[in-house]
Amino acid sequence: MATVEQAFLVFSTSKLRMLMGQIETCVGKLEESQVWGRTGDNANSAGNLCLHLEGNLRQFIIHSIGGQPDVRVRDAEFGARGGLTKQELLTKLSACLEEACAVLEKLAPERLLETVAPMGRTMLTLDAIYQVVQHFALHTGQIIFLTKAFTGEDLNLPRFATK
Amino acid sequence: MPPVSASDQLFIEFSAKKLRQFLNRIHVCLERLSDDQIWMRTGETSNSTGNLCLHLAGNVRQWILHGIAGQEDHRQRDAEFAARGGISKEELWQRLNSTVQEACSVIEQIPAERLTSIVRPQNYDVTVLEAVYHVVEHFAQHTGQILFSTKAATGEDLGFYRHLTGTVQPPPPPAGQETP
Repeated sequence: MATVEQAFLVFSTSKLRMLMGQIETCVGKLEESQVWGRTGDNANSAGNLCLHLEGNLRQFIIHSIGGQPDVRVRDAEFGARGGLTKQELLTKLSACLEEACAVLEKLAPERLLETVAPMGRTMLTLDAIYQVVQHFALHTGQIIFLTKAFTGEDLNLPRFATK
Repeated sequence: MPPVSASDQLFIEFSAKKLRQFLNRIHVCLERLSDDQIWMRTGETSNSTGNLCLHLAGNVRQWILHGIAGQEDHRQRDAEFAARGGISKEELWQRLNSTVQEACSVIEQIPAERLTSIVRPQNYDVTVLEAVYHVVEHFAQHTGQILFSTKAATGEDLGFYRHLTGTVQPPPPPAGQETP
């Protein structure tokens, strides 16, 4: 039987991939202009959210845990108002997600208890990974919300993809 | 050195902490919405904040209080999405708050060795760890939607992340091009 550490890591990557599949389905249904459409000045578009999720994954997993340089410019994720097609957004996010999953798949279980410091905030690696997955879920929910609002479709997205 | 079971405890603590944090954010949203706005939808296939609160309470009760703690399963999932009003925001909050607080107590008392045992909520065979993780992830998704719904209804910035704006430095310039 898998240990708690192994089970946690496997479930984390499978959830991230399931959520990525939901984003691909949603963004795929949007018109190019809808990808950057917002419900108001204080709300983010699906395009902003894709850039934001990519920035978060790269900083928390690929940089903090995987040891790659921190290249994040967080304000630019929210400041973008276009310039990328939906296919470009999805390709970038999906490639980043697979890179992050590869870091998690190679992670030695005992490293879950080591500290990391993404954004200068010290936390344990397990907490950083859990933080990323629930953060990814929260914004995926918003992309689903936007897609329903724009298309009026009932999306019937898969919910528990690992079983 | 932390004890061998530290990951178990960390997972449990983070799960309960996150659920309570999301619950607090939903509370902030409910406070800003009128009783009418709670049942507003962006379209026929979308859910209102009221539906989402009922849905989250139903999910948490079925997966944690039934699936893990063994209480009776009396979920009526379709009713969570079908409701179009008739419940005040105070009542919605009471239901969600009491369910989540009870679930957090259950989660905090899960013995480490139970995390890898199998339970069967909603006809899914899952480990206790997967059930808890799934509930937190599911709660996150719909909290995100309630935040969006509230922003759309009120036009307000809820301010949860204001402290992060502008605080992240851009990457350093290439060697030799640093500004003094």
